Amino acid sequence: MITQISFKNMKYYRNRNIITGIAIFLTSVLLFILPTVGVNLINTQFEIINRYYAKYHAQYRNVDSALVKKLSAHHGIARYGLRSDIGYVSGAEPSTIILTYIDTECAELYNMRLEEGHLPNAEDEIAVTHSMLKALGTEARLGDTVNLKFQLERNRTLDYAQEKSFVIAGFIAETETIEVSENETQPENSQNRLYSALISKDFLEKEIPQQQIRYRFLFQTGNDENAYYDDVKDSIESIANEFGIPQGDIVINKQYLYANYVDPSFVAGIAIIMIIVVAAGIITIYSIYYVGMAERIRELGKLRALGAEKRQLKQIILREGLCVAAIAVPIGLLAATLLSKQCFLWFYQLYSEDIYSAEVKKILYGGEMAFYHGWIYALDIAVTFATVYISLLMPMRKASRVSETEAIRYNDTRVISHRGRRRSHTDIRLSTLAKIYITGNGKNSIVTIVSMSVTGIFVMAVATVLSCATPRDSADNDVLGQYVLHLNISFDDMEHPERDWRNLIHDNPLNDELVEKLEKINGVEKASVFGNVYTKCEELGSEVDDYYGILGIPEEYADTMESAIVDGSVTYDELKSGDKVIMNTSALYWFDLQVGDKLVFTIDDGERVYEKELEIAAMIEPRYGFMGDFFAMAYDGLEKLCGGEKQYRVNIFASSEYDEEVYDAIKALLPETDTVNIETWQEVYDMWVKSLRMMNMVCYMFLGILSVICLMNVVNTMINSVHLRKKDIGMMQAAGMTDTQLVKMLCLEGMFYMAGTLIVSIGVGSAIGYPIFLWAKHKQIFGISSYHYPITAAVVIAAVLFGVQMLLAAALGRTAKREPLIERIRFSE
Amino acid sequence: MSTILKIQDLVKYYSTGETVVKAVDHTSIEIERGRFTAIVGRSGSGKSTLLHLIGGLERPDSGKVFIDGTDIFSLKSDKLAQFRRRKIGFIFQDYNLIPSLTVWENVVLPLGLDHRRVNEAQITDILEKIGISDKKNSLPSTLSGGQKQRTAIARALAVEPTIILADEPTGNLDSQTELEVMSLLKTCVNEYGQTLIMITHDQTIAQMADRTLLITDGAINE
Repeated sequence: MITQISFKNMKYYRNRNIITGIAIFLTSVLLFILPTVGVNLINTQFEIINRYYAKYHAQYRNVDSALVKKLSAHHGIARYGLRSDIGYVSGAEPSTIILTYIDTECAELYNMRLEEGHLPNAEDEIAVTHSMLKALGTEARLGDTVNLKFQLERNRTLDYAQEKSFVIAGFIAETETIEVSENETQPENSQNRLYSALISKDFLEKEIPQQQIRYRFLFQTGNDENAYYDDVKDSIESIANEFGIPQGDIVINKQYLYANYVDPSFVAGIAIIMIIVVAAGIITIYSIYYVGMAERIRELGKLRALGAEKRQLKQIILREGLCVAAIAVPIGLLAATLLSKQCFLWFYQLYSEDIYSAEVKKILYGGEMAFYHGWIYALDIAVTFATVYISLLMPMRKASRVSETEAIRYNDTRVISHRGRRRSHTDIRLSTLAKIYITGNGKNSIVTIVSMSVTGIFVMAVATVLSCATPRDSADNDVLGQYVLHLNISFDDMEHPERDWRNLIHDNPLNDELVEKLEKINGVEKASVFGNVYTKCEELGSEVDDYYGILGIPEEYADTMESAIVDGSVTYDELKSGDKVIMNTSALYWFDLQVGDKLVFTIDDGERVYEKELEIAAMIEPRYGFMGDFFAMAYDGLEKLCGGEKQYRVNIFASSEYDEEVYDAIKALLPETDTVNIETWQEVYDMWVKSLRMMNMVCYMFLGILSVICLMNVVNTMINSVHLRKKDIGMMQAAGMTDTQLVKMLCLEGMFYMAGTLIVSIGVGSAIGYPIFLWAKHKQIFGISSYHYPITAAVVIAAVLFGVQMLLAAALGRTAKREPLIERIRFSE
Repeated sequence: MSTILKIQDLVKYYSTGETVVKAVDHTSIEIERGRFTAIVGRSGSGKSTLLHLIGGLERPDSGKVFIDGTDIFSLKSDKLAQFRRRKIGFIFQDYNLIPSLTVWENVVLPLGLDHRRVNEAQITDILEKIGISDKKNSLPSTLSGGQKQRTAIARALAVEPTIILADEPTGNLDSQTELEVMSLLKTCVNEYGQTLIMITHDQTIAQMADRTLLITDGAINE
């Protein structure tokens, strides 16, 4: 019976329930799209990583056969593969060809795929790449025999050269192979590449005595897929400790582990946005029911008089809401299912480079990865129904408190002044009528305004952040000058020894001669040279980086540097001592450091390794594009840290933002080796334009949907006000109110809600927006550096609110007219 | 005396499923200015519909209603509303006061809608005559039935209409109040020289009228 009453009520209060349904529908859509986009961002990232990255967690080097047996039985190791480098093939110099054995598991862990054929099985079989053969000056097909000259490593020394014919058993796919060495991808045209020629186990065991075979034991730990890097690292080190594997023989695949790492702040961000959606839904649905409760009191009173229990009255309200949700949620899920894939691709483009977009589309549309997840549907249903339930708690409580006498006493649902008297207005104008109604319905008006304003404030706060994120500011913040040259540095890179910082400081391409030439280029105004000294710091560990650069700031930026200090105090001159550093505040995200702390840095200049204690003298905001590293000091201070040529970066200031001729002229001065990289302000600016455009689009789409949810409040309040006053309005019309006057009066009432919402949203939203801007600036979100009032957003909110209420008033006026005037006069609730 | 109201072959039928109710059936009448006319008839005879048609609250199926020479149904919706607030005063059985407005505001509402400035002296005079001047700041919910109906009468008189249409104005009142309201109405009509058309099923009240029209099945008989 209760369900029947609820169902009848759902139909009777059709308009209100349609509005509630729209709010529930939109809530459901957002609650589905948000986690779907979030989860798939993570999943596609993992999918791409797993396709292209070597996926072992770590490898232990110099492992003998006995240890392989023990390790393979360890419970902490989920899967493993073996590799053994046994020598070098000659004839491809300056490229290097390593003769390597890998087993099938190892090939899998390296993500190595064969273009054709199989891994070598027989003693004379080999697997190669076409480019390796090319480097050897030959060509061959599967099954062909190639004659190779090689040296094997026996007893830790390279033995005499040998020659042997091998049958090509397989060709390794080049594009999808991450080099067997831990090096990054190599330039196609590079003359000194590193290749691997794979040999069989039989060959290995025949040529190398069993006791001399040393493997690389590549493995994945048994940690959860989404485990944090630290946990995996702990497991790796703990296993190594158990078996006495020295620290130097542990190689952790950081690239893979970092890439598989889910930033908890990303998950938290999605969760917070979902909570905001739920809050908007709760406020809106609650407000819709709250505003409509007055109309129901009499009906509920009658039911109470007929014997309904309090619990039953509550159930009537609850079941009606749940019935609406039962219709709205499936429609929402259907719409969200259709929309989410497209939303995801938009969102993906926002965060990822173009080169991956096609791959992601392939993965998504090729059905290679499940895009829709049952648990998200379940979560959506559960959270949306919970939202509806929470929204209805207060109306349910109100319903349960209705007494039997309400049915008799409450014969007029319109709000009447408690005093029964008030000072009359001498003249009655439309504005007076609107004012009397609004003030007479103070509670409803306040609930409507507050519930709309909550979303309005949120919209304004987000709009503040978005308006402060301008591509120009962000690019200016990232790049100092119009062109930047910086050293392309790597450490312990056998393939690129020329990029090693310890070598570069003895033959630095960013020398005075280059700077002089740069400044002579037509269109270049000046060039500023920054230095850098690379250090290791045990206290900071190697979680963020193995090497921490200490930037040398040239004297011309002394004032800028000093003005950017936010904590502590130090002058540029004091930083010349070489004993103090300033720290970028962004380092605080990683390290718990403060002004006054002292850190011991280990400097390896290629000639000697020594330690230097440096005090953090101040914290600096990472602004103005010159402070990319965690630590910095005066350029002269660097001289006291280490010798050599420490130039690291040249910031070039030109008369125009981008000039191809200037760019070409700069490029022409750079060495042929890839030891110097060039970056332009324009590139960074274009990247920000694209990113921020997408970001704005996605954010405003989200805010738009959220706003529609909140607009349901005013739609309901106004429909409700017209419905409840049907008879009054009829009477006013009988007394001579024209249709135009009716629409005007409704407009004036709507204006009140809109003005109230606008004042609160824009007032409070702007007030909250500024501290949020300061926070975003501090956290370097989107490179925000200067405050821009979100005037466009404020105007759009005002225009939308104004437009909606005008349309609403016109629609309600028209609806009111549809029923004959006499019927409205006779109307009694 | 000149004709203030002229009804020509007025028809209004209602269809309720298969049955057609002839609420007003080819009715033609003329009413002179300044007269008190009572329309009597049984419940469901069509007297209320006739009054609503005269006041332009409903539109007829056919026929015409002329008030002071104006064919009211030739007017568009907004013009008809303007005409109504200037020329017609309504008094309903259930008062139809706006609950959120005070007595004063209810009375001056038609003037406000017509963008006319309120003549405070005139409205105070009406309220005093009607006997509710002490209630002018009260909300309708605090008034008795008689006071509510007096307020409705004051509202009808405030615009100095050409014609007052009263739909069983004493139907909800006790006999004592009924007599008071009726004598008040008559006095006001006489004093302000207005035309009063009243619907009633009470023969005693009908006898107070200058002219009585009997309506049976939508047709008028004098």
